[in-house]
Amino acid sequence: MRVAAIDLGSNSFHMLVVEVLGPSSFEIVVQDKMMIQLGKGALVTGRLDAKAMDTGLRCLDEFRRMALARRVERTLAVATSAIREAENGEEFLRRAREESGIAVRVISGREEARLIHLAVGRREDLGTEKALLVDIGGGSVELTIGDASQIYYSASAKLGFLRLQGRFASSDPLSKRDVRIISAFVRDSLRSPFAHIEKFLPRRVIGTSGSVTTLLRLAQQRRGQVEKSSVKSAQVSREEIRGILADLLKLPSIERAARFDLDPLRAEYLPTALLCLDAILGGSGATMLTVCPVALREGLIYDFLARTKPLPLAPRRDGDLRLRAVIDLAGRCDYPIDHSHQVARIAGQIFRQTKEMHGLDENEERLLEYASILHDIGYHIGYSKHHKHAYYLVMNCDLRGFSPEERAILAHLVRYHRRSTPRNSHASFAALSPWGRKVVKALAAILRIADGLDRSHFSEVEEIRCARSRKRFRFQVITGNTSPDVQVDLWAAQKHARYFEKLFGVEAVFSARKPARRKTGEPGSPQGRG
Amino acid sequence: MPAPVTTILSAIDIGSSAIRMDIAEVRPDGSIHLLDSLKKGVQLGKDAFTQGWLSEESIRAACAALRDFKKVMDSYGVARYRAVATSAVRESTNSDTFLDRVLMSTGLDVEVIDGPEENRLTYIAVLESLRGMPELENAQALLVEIGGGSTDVTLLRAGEPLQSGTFPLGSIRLREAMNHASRTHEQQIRLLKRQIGNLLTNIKRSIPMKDASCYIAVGGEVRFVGKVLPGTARDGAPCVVSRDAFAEFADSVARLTVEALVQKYSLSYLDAETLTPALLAVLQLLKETQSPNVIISGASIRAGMLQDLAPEEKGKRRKQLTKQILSAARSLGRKYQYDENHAERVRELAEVLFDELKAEHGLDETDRLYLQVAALLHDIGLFINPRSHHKHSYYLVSTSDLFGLRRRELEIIANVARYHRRALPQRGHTAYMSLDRDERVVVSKLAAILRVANTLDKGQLQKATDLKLSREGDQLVLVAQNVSDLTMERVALAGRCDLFNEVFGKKLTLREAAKTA
Repeated sequence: MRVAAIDLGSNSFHMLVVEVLGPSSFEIVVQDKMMIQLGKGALVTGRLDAKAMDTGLRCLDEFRRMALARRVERTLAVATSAIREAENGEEFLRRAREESGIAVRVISGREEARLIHLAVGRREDLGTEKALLVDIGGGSVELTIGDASQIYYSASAKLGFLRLQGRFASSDPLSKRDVRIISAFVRDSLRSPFAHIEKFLPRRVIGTSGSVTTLLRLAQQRRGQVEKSSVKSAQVSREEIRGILADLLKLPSIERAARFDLDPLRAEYLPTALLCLDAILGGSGATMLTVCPVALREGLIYDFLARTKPLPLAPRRDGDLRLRAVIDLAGRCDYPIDHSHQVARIAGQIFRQTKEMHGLDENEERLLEYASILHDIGYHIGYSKHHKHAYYLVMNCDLRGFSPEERAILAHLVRYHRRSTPRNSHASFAALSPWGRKVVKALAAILRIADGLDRSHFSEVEEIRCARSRKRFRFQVITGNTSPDVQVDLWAAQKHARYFEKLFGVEAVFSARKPARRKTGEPGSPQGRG
Repeated sequence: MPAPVTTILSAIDIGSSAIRMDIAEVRPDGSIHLLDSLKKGVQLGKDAFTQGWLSEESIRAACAALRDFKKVMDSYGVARYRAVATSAVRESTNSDTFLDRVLMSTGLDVEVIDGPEENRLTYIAVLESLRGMPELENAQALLVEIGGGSTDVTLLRAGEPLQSGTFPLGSIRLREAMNHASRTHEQQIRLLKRQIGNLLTNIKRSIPMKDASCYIAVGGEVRFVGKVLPGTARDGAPCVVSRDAFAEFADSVARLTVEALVQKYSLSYLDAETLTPALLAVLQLLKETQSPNVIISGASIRAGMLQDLAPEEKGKRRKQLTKQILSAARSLGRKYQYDENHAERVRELAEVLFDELKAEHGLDETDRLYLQVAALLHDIGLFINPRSHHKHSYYLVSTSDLFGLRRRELEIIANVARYHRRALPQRGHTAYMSLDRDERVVVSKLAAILRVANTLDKGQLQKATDLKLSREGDQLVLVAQNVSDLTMERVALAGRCDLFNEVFGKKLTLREAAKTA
């Protein structure tokens, strides 16, 4: 089912069209936005000007048409501060309903906060620690204290960047005086909400909205990161924010837009938004900001899904959530279902029987399972180098529920399931943490064997039994395959175990056996006969 | 002295087990007639697929053979030639040295061609040889060429290529892989079949062949079948062998050892070695289709090269090829679930802009084709992720196999697609900088047009009829009919004209056509 979420913000109108995949998961079909900047005049004068309204209405009509073309069945549209506070806001909504047929709901700041919290909760592991969620909009800033299960406090402050800039900016770029005044005003306005926020001792600050995601991009550019994947990549330090602010303020907006590859309309307001953000970080005593790439519109979708099918607020690091995401991705790439799940099964068996050699745990076992499911998705793009295509897909596709490091580990596992083995001369492998590298090596060694065993060498592997005696590691393959070529296939499987041998310093030996006679109705369970 | 009425052409193909040359004359009516055909066995493939580089011995043998061929070319008075090398040379680490040695000792300029180009040439040759055959008219056909190092598979519908790919399934490779003395002949054959099966699983995934009702096989080993099986064709004309007859023959060949094959059919040892692997591969692929028989085409890539060299055919074929390339691009787009309507509209808009701005950009027909393909495929990156989808489009286009386009050309198109939004081409971008200067200029010009075309497919312009471009001093004005207020579209366009302004030095504005009374 396709659902569209439209957010008529003070700065931009956004539309998100998704395909619902499950009770709490969806896939983005298309997104669009237009920087209508309804709030530019309205937040200062209190009225929406005629031209902006017309442009906004036409944008809505465009959205409607796009939604129609995408076979959208439900449209959820909400309006926030600019329309909420304008005298003629009602008129705009009426015209929207009449002219484009879209029923727009005006929501309060509190409701905005709730929806954003919902979206963040689905993306980040909020756990039981309270976090401060900050959403920087054109009209207002939403501050929320919440954890995975609930919201403890929320406040809406009229500190949106359009509002602030409209009121205080005297030049382009902002003068030092402007900067001081804006910062002071923001601090003052935050005094009261922060008095409450302090009590909750939030452990981290999570930021959402366009200005924040733009900030992340600029920070990554500044760090020289291109497509890297380290744990810190979704975080920005306060120091970096200040550095970026200083750089931005050196230039007038037009040059700023060119120099930093910004949307010209975003370029104008970004410094003000960041000033506000910096003051908030200061007030909360935090030195790091976690960037979460969700916004009100994702919240709208999750909310809709939750209402149509009751669901606990946070599935958290549920195996289900991640497995779901992995299978969704694999399905989109037309993965070889039987082979992939068989490999996952065999890999799991080997993992559990080699624990004393790799020392890894439950979480890594899950990662191995996911990598097994994903290892052949690269074929969807191309035949040769399919392992590299798989790497690209895992690194870049929408994959919910994984930290950047876990995603990088998964990507490396699928890349190393065949051909070259993990090595430090591969830049992206070397960039993993020591733990990441250890995990990739061990799991890749196992995955290669599991994949090799199912490469139609043994079409019906039922079980793998492992036994170690000093330098020898025996893999006993219990298979229903009765062909006389079993010896030939064992020799082929040996090839795939070479990395395993090298990594763990053992000699791998393969033997095959037919399953023992079964009691009727019971799955094969040998009676101790070797 | 009367001008020569015919042109003599030659095509040289440096393959995995032999170097071959065809010499032909093109008559005034455009028809091509074979004058001579030469072959010299040189085992480049053995080196390439076992050790990864060409030995001194092989290089010398190749140069000697080519020197002799050159002498023959001179004696015929060859006016134009093309010499290509395929997978064995392509995959050797010392291919550059090899090409240089050939040039120095024979004066022949050899070009290493990639899979897609091999496919294209084979395709041209086969089509030519099958002209008029009813089987091709309607249904889906699978065209297969099993080479020494790689196999080219092309899926055709009504004679037009839908999808094609090159796979590392080659008769010499297969042969090398199973050369272990410790096994009996039967065991080796079983292992061979198993290996072919494995490789096939992946080919099937790339090229959906189960509905093909027509199967065309090309290559030396298949031609051998045509010669040996009783009741089949004469030279050059395609022959048809029933599925059962082919299977029976292939199995009978497989049962014999290499030595026995040499004896029975008077083959060279080398030819006998690759016969079984090639036939089994052809047979297993055949079984994946619905085709009741195998059409054995005598056409070789040299025939395709000769067709290509013949001048008169070139223009006509260019047009045909363009149609096929666009069709292949659309197939690729569908694979990634692209928005077909948007893609076609952007392509049309881009074509209008390209044609109107000829004086400003000075690009040619080939560049126009690149623009068309880039326009069709610019959004396929959305399949991976809407975020940074332009970069994903680059990745997908540059790594895909698109019929009729070479690697280098795909790289250019991929760059054009990448720059349809966000950052402009700049020094820090590795992919862009690895193109040469002329190519970079082409990319900038085409990307500038694509950015604008993409933005124009919004709002009312989607149903605007008749978009006309007029020049007013330093401005280019796009006039759209049947639209009212274009404010929103102008705002959108303003954000995307950056590259256009830079490349063409002109401002672009939108104007609503004056309403006629």
